[in-house]
Amino acid sequence: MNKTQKGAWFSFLNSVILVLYSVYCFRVIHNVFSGASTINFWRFIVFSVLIVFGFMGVSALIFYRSKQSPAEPESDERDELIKKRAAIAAFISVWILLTASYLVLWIKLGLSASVPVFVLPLIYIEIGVFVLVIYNLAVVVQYYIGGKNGQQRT
Amino acid sequence: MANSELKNQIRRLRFENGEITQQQLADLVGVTRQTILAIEAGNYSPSLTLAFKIANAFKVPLETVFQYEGKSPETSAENK
Repeated sequence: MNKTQKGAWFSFLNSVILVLYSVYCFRVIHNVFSGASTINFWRFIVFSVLIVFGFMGVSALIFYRSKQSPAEPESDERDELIKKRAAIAAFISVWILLTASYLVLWIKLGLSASVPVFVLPLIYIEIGVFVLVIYNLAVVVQYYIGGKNGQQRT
Repeated sequence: MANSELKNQIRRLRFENGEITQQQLADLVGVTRQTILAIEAGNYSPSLTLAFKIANAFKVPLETVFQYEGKSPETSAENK
């Protein structure tokens, strides 16, 4: 694996873990505040941060080992092409996710309902994390299908 | 998915030039080993610049390394 590929795997795995763990955290926090759970909230937050950073540290040790060769470039033309296409996929997914998020709210709550203000930043954070997953997935997938032709304008 | 129109002789040329490895060729032309691997397997068609660099590394003309086996524009026009 070259540096771009390792970076994409690192970000992809960490963002997937982050998404899955966030879902679990939301459930725990909801239970704590609704009184259904009696666990110590701050102890849980510290434990969660340790879990996430611990996984990041371990995956960094695995993916950021030494270069294949001292002369290996940071990235080459194929890496740039792959990253450019992944960025296009991520940009398109922003609009799809944004539309889908508002559609879900519309369908679930109806046209005349209102949502708390904190829901909007949560939507943008959710989109940000999903876009990160999509970008890195697009990079990883392209490395396995070849990356196609050089000098092709997209 | 392999690109069937562009054939290359990189593997043969590597062995004919002192059995150099993909990594050594990658270092010579300034790309990663994965790019050489993808070109050799026909999964990636390099830019003209990189194609010339590879040909220069082997000290052979471009057409000795890469051969286009698709339809020529004249043939395609005649078929229409």
